[in-house]
Amino acid sequence: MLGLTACKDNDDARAAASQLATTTDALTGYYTTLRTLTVQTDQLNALEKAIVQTQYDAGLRKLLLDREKQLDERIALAKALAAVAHSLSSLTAAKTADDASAAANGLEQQLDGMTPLANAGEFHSLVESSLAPALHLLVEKLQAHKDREAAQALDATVKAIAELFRKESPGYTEIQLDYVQESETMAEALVRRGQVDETAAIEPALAPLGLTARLAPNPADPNLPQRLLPVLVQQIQDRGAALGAASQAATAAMQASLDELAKRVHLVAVGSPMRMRLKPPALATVEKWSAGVTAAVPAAP
Amino acid sequence: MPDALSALRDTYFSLNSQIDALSIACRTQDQRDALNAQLASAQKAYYTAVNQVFADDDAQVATLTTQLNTANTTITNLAEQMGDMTTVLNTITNVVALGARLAALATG
Repeated sequence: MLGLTACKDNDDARAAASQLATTTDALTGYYTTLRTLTVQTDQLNALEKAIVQTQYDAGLRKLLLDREKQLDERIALAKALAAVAHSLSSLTAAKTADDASAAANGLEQQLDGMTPLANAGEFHSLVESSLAPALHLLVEKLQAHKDREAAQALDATVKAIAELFRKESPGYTEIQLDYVQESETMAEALVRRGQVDETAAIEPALAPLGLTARLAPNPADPNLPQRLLPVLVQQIQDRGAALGAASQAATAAMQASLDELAKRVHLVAVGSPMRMRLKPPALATVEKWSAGVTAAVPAAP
Repeated sequence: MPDALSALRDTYFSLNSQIDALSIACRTQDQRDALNAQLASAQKAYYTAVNQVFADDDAQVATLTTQLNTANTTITNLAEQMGDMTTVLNTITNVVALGARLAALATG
């Protein structure tokens, strides 16, 4: 943000730009993780159709494919905002404004044609009244090298992005809950069909002693798998609940991070001291959740 | 104002979480087809409602949501009734129809 001379302190401005870059990178990761969950939900529905013989027809599938497309739009928007932030935090001030202007132009193009993922009425109202005008102004002021006005437009843009997240976050929660319940349903169906290795259920008894389970058909106790069934089902439900809670915590943390970032960018835009040098603390929760899902779930194509 | 989306989610999640056991309990393929059609309808109502919006001040939305919340309590544990799948399917059909009426009030 070196080019934005509305700032009294270039260190503050550079720090704000760097935090904007870090936060929007995390936002990209957040949306990418939601997309992964959506792709997995589609595949789980297809699996349910094959195993339980439900009707997962093209019409229903299209609703999830539309959701994937909407998440792609948000990933592109977050990446474009990150590009603006990275160019503003560049150390080469002379080149910064032109790069930032080009990046902001890309951001404006990403917004064009974006469709609502949730809360459609408020989405359109927010885009038309806040986000689109702020972005348009940002491009215009960066192109004209009017740094003070550009800083104010960036302030409005970040606020609008945080507000967009708030309006749509109920939809993000539904994506997470849908994935969890769908995976629980399929896991339970597979357990009931004897298609799951039950050794995980007896690990708590053996792992602390350094032992590994080996469940084999036991003629002396043929009903053991049946008795383990409720233990496995309970485990599925407990882990599903934990996954759901972690997902909702990640959404709340992403919102808190965007709100915190908006406050910091605003301080810089109005020329007040912005002494925070660390990234918004709640970002760690988002990054941990994204990394956890990425490790546990195959990457979406 | 009761939460319409939450009520539609409860209907779908409740049916989906029991679909395997319900499907096994069906006596005929016709029953199975009817069950799956209801599940698909509940899923469609829920998915469609996610990216739309219910008017906060719409009395009809409030009434239908309250009715659906009450109706959802009749499908939370269908295991005890699976001996009579005709009655179970009727119960499910009534709840899903209520959900479809509610979902139709969401606007894009």
